[in-house]
Amino acid sequence: MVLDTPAGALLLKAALGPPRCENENAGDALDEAIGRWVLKHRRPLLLCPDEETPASLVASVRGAIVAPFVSVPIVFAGEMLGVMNLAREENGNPFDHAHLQLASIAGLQVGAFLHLSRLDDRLAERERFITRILESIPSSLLVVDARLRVVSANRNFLDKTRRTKKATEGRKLADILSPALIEQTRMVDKVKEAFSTGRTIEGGKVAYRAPNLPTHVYFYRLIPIPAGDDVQEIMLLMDDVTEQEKVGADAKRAERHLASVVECANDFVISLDREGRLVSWNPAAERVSGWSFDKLQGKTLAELCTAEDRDAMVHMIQRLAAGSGVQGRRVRLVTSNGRELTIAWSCSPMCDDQGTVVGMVAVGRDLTEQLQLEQQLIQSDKMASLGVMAGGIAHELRNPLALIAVSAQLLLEKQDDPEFRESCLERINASTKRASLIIENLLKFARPQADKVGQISVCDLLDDTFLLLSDQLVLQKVRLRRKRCAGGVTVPGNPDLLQQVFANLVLNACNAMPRGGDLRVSTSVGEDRKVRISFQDSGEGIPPDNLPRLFDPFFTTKPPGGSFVGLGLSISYSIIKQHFGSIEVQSRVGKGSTFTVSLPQSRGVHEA
Amino acid sequence: MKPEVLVVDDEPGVCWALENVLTRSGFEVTTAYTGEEVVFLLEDHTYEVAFVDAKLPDIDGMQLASEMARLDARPAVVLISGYYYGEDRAVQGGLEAGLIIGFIAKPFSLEEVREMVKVGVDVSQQRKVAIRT
Repeated sequence: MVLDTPAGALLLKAALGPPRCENENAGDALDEAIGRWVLKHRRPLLLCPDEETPASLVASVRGAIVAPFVSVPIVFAGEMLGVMNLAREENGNPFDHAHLQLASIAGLQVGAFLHLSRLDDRLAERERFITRILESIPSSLLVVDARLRVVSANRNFLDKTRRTKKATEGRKLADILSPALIEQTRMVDKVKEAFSTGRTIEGGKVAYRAPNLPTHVYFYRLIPIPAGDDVQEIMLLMDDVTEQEKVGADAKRAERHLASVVECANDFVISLDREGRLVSWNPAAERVSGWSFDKLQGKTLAELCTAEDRDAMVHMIQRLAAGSGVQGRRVRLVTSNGRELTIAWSCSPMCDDQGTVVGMVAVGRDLTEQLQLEQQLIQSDKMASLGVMAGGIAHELRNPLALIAVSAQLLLEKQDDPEFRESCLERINASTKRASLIIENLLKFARPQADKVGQISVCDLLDDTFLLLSDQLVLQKVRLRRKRCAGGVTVPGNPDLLQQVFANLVLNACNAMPRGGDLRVSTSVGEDRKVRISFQDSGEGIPPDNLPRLFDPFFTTKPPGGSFVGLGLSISYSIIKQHFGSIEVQSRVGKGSTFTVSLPQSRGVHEA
Repeated sequence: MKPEVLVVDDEPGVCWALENVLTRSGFEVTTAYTGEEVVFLLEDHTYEVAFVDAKLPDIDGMQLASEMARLDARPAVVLISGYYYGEDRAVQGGLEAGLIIGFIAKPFSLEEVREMVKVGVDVSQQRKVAIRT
């Protein structure tokens, strides 16, 4: 019987000879009871008629002992491994002490044998364990000895290379891996190096293609297996990185694709770090701005802006750094040869996985050409307005001219009355001034817009506009009713452009009242600090169908060939948009229309 | 008795000029700035000649001329304008319809005015004779 140590149970391992009694279970129970006694007392037991039966066994052996019996412990190095029982037939000779001694010696020998067999079991279990580990490693593994022979190959390697263990272990490494691969990786040198230095060598990537299989890419390493101070074997560990390589290649392809988009774009596509310093600068940026990227190392985008717009750019970068995007913001840059470019910027912050802003991307479109076209359009609209105004201006100029002519002619007739003569001269003088004022206004209006921006007094600008248009109003029998805003208000903007909008709206109103009428112009400031200038006519009104198209370029209800080309409202709209304002229209057919321009009021204390 | 002339122009300077020229030529001159004033004046007054600006704040000069044409004692109307040319269809139409007897473009010469006022007085006289007979 062998002692099963963890359970503490005695297991019958081997039995020889005939059964001792009819009741086998009773016999086993007796054997176990005696065995336990022997184990507990760590000494052999001899049961015979003249020997005293130990008290603790009396109960279990009573009546059962019908034969001579010897029980000895199986011991190795003091460790109880089990019990050996010997029994004789019922009426056989009883055992004596000599038998007991002999049995004890046999117990020792069995103990030694048992110990050895246990060690062997344990060793085998270890080996199986190590093999299991090696087999379950998801990497290919070869163990190579100093003669470059394969000592061991794991399942992963064999599967990947479609080889058998037999055809692999014991063969030369060069026969297992292709000679070309050995050559390419300088494997032999590296293995030798690992042997001599005892250090792991990170080999790098190799492509390996087993017959009938797609090529796999491996990352290999040579790991020395030390045995004492020596290295007997080298482990060649190969990780299959085919998938990662593929992902990497896809990523590279996507990257190249994106890069070519950036390269080919006609817009500025640039990236900045959190502080707005330039990180990348595409060819379009280089072409349009004239700045090559190597000249811009360490510079911020704000440094490339015009002095006036630098703050706007800094503000924009701050917004981006705070995580907000920017759409279509116009900020001017200075080119390498000092020219100004108006660029519309759309930017977004770049965030890492935690959502922290790590940089920003800015896409900028050069609006210079577009603005030039826009200016041409504005200019042609102005010319169209001038055409309409020509009649009024002729009328307006001819009045002072008539007065000058009459006064001069009266003087030529040699008037006696000195007071009358003076009066004539005064009228000549005043009329000349008036005529030149009209011309000045006309020139001011006709001149292409200057790039001037300032704080504009709305009332003064309206005064100028009506001075220019007063005769037009008279001609068209339009009565002007003005309601000024108390205190006067200012808006930031370009006075030339805003005057053009006002002139367009007045001319439109006149046009809507072919038989004359009232034009009410009022200025007010809302609680939202918006200045509202409304132009209310008592004209024909606009049919609801036409309202949505009102601000479309070239939309006109006038017959072709007239002075109106239908640009006025669309241009007015774009001008007001540029001033961050809006134009709204309300209209009732037969009652008239009201156009309301809203503009943000000037900030600060510089209001006039 | 001096012949009476009406000058209608919303431009005070022009009224002053015509008033001076005509007064010095021996006419009695009344000035008005608007159509409304003219209507008021014509209620109890007749004029031989009326110089009317083509564009008045409240009425078109030609329209005022056609209003005057309905009067029994209608003045001979001379249209003055800085807006029209003599060849303009509106002017020619007015002449053909007999609404106006002449046209003076601004700026004008004193001679033109003196000439025109004479023609106007003649036309007015002839009309009066025609009515009587």
